[in-house]
Amino acid sequence: MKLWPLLLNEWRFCRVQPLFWLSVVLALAFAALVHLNPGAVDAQPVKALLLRHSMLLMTIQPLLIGVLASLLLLRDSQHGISALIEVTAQSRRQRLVVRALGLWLCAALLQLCFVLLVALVFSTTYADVTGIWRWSWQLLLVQQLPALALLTALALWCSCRSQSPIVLYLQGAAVWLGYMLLAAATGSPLMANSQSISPLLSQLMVYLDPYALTPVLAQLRQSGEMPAALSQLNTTFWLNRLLIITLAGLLCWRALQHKPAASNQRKPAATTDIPLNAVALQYQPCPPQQLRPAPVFTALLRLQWQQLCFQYSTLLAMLALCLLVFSEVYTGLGYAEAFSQLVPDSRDALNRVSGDVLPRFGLLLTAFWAHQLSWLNRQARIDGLIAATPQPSALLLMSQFIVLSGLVLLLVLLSLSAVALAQMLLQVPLDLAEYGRQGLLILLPLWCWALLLLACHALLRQPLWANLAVAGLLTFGLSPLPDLLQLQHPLWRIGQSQLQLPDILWGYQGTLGSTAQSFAGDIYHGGFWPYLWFWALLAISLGTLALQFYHRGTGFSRPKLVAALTPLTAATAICAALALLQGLHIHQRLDAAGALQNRDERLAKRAAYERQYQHWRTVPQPVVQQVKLQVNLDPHTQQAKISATLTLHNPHAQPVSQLLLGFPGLQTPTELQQLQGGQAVADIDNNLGQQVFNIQLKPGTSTTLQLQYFLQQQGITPAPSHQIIRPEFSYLRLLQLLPQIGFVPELRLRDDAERARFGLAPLPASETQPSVLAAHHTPASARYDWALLDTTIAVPVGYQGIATGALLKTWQAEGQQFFHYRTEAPVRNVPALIAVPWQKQSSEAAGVPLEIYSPEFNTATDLTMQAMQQTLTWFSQNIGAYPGDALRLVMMPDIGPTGYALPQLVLINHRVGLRAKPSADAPFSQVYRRAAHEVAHQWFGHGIGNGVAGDSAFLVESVTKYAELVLLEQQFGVAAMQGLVDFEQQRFARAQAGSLAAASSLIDAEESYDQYSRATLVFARLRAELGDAVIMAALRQLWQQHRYPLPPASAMDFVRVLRAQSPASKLPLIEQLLLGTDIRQLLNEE
Amino acid sequence: MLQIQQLSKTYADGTRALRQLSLHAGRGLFGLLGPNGAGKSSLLRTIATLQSADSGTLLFDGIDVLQEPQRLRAQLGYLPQEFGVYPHLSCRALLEHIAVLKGLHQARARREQIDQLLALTNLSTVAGKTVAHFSGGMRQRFGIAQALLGDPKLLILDEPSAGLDPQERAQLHNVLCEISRDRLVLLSSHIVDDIEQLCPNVAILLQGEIVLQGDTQDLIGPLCGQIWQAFGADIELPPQAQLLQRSYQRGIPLQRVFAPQCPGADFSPVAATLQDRYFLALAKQEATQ
Repeated sequence: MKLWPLLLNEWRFCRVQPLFWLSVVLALAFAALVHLNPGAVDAQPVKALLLRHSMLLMTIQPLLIGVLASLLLLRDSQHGISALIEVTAQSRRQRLVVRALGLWLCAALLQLCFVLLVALVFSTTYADVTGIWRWSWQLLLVQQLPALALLTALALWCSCRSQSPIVLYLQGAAVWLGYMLLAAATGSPLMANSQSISPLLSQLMVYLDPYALTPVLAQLRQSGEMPAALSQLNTTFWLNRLLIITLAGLLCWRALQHKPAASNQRKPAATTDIPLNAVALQYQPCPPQQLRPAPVFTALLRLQWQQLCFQYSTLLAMLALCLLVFSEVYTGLGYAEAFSQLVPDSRDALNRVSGDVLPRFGLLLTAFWAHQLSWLNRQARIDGLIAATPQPSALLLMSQFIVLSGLVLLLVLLSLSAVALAQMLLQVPLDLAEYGRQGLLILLPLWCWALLLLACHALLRQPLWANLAVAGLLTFGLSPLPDLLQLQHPLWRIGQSQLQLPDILWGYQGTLGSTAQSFAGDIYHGGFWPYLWFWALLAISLGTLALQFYHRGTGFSRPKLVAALTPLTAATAICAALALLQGLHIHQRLDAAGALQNRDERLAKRAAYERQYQHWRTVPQPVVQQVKLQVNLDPHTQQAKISATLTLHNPHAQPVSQLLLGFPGLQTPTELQQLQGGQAVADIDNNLGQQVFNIQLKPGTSTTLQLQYFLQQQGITPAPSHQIIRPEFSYLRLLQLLPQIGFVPELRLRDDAERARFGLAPLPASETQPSVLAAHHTPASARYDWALLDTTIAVPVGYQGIATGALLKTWQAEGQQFFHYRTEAPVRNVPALIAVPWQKQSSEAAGVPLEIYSPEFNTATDLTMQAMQQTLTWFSQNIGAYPGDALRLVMMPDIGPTGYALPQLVLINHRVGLRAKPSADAPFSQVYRRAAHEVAHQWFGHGIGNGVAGDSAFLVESVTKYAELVLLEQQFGVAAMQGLVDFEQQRFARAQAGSLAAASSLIDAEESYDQYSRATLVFARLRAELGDAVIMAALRQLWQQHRYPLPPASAMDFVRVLRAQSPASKLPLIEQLLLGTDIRQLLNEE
Repeated sequence: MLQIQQLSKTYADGTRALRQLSLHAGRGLFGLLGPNGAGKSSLLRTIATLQSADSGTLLFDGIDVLQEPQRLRAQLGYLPQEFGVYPHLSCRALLEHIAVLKGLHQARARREQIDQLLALTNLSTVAGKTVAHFSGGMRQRFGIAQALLGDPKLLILDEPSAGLDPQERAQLHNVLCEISRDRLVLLSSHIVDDIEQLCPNVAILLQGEIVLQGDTQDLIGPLCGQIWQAFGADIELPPQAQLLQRSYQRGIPLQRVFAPQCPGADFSPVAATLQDRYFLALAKQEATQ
């Protein structure tokens, strides 16, 4: 067999196929858009190269091969030319081999394009151009070509088993989705925030990962750095490649061995034995009756329902989705976090799938069915017959919509049944009302989509154009394309709302915008209904337009229309106008909520701020001495009135003549402000939120600044994480509202590339690198921003008002409950207040009142209280007395962070802090560990660890990991402590293997896996080498020398005191662990 | 019944399918002849309300078809040149479905007509079988049956005898002749014999234009005495003779020519047919290009 002419023949076929070019162009465009932008300069270009190619393989190739396979492998049967081809001299095997090879070459050529493009982009970004090109070719050879061979072999095998293109499409989609799920389940860096759920699965992926990423990452976890050359990849990698190539070969062999059925076409019904009518029959007309919509509608519904429901693809897709939903709920329902099990309910079960799996896959299936329904007659080539019948277009379209809506309903019902089955098998009680609520929230947007998609197909005469339009809509609705294009407005996300998952703590208040516990939410201002109205109106207006311009299922030009005002045109105009009005309403609300600024605009403002105001760094400015707040908070109406009085003190030797007030977010939200003895000058910069006052403040004197705020929570967008006013939970961190005095260095851009983009020079290491900025001593610019806090909160009766300080008084007046808090001494100037309708549990430790606010109290809250007591006692005994009046811990909804500490306040996510219990194999309690960690921030974070601009999070997050180790060992034994070390070691190995950040010392670390996991390993090692006595002595000394009002501490101060406390023989180790960048020693510790 | 004036249609790729086409047809069978690509199917699709025209008027029984397509559909029977069927549906079920769409809402009357049409098209014994598995001829008969559903006043049949065997074709002719008494049957076909046998009126369509239209006999009449044929391949023709057709009779080459006088000794006069008129029109068209 001469291969070359046959391959050329394949090319001649491909080059005239629109689907081929469309697939190639779309794949290239997608790759260019998503993967080829240089973005940030990664510190490890070879690893970045590997990840980027793995991502391209994962996201593009399975789908591309799925589409091209149907074109190349099934073309004979699809176009009815089998009989002609099968009688040629070429054998079936030869034909299959050539076509499979052609398919593989197509995919390989496209991959080559990706390789060239990525290498070109990387060459412009990185210095080691030779290395980039060398690795690009090597990865193409050993990573990508074998992977493409496997995908091609799989497609070939499927094409031999089934002649339906749908099967190949589904196979491509299954590989695409399956790998993503596997990547997520094995903690691959390709899937953000994923973690390994099974060591066995991770181990299997090392050998069977078709894209060979897992074995490379496994090696990275061991060695800590990317191999310098291909030859340095270990045997596991090569074994993986061998297995993949063998598997591809096996699939090809099985495909070639497969014997097709004698004929793919059924035998036509016999005709020869039917006698012709001996007697001529007469035609008897049957005059049609007056057209009645009902029977016609029923007939259309019945036929379309039968045609779609009994297709293998429909049944297969439904079954696959149900299995996916069941497996997602059954395997993940009890998972709170590592070593921690959730005590779940129906809402948790539904939340596993209602946020992504069901809406996304539901939408994809809706789009698939919309296509099938719209072109059903045309695909069956009966479009002409049906279009010529006297049925109105409206009836035809309406029947399609009803059938599609029914299918969507069936899909949701089946999926919810799968959830219920999983829930019952896990013996979790069913809450049918919750199923109804969530089912409705999934269904309504899908029904809008159904109408929108059918309208597209009805308006566009060619399936290709209609499908392209639908693909465009889906891309904007489902992919991160709007983000990549910096299209910040939520309405760019076609068909989407701002709906967030309901939370057991505050129900649907997160986004529905409900002002009470009702499910209905706020139809005008919530984050769901206004968007749904908008998309529904848009869909209806397009739907009514489609009724007038419907091509009736044929590809011919539509009949001419009478240009007259009909009820339909009026309905279209009215719906379009209403959609426009609703869009404007959403836009105005979003604008009011400040949600329309994109990242670039925010960065540009910060750059402008630095350029215009950095000279204020040298201008003497007063400091905030006291913050007095009077807050009237109404959670039901989601409003807060805040009156703030700031006492400004001049601590300098010279008078302060000008005052720069900057408002957080670089916006000015105040309605009224009065500065005693001050007068605003002309320089009011509303764009950057800066105001300059002329003021005469002599040394040692003070003045007051009065501000009043009125906050109305905007439900149309999710509440900012530190500014929530909802009936079940309200939390305001006033750092976001109160003005900042003088120039704030933290607002400067830090990333060099971003600074360069906005025309700023890089910041010197002496300002950004902790080990340099405080190499010898704490920088002179360091100062504590501490103040006395006096807070009075008014909340509705039944609510608890919570703030920093001692509770001086509580009283009722005018139907409100008042709480007055005051700190006895200055604390870090981060005033915050919380209001919840729950009771508190009180205790005390070392003379400090402890309180927990929670909707319920259980063993988890008991353990939390125990952790608070023991942490407070341990710190008081070993480091220093508690720097506050009381400590209050409040459960918070699942809004992101699992824990957050403020001065004298701690917030814990209820999912991991209230509703979780240790799993059977847990070596330690996550509930206890987290509570201890957050309480430790009262010393490290809000005690010391603040006041040095540019210092790292070492004194805040890393040192508290030491406290976790000590407290776990003290309370639960060495095994618990070692369990934490092992856990963090695994986390660290996995995270650093997938990270593209440059290696840095622990003191300079900016990556969270360094600050937490690596810190745990470092402190475990220090404990083993130095002993707790030395470390605690160093921490105690640090506390004593740097606590307020003494000069603030930097991370390097800890290194200095630790060195001072340690024997000389250990100094190299300290140097290596805290200031060195070599992590191999930590990775290989077992 | 059907009046078409100045009808034009140009497709998006620039193909001018219909050029200022005008046509008049009364009750009865009306034949439409033309080579492939002449615009027959475009014309029939336009009349069947499946596509719009760029300009012109199209009236049927007083209905402005381009403006009120729905009114025409209520009295239309349409058999396209090519059509498919839904999978899994039996012949009877599919006829039922189309009958309902055509407004036959009385179940009994509908059933009776379907039974009658099944018998008429010889499909009674396979009425319960899936149409998708029918042979070409059976499927064509199904197409004819569905076109006859109801009481169409305008029946558009595009190549109705394609795939039918001689007996089935004869049966179809019987049916068409019978039903055309009180309705217009527009018949498009490549088989000129069919048209000649069935249609008292005919139009020849070439490159989107009607080049000839009228009573079939009137069109053939002028050719009488001017059609000659001769056996043999290499017979020289005088300049005034127009070669109409080269064919074979039992393997022997046969030439058929149009000439006012006998073109040669080998030629003998034969009766003129519609096919001669059609080929003559084609030849004239080629000559003018």
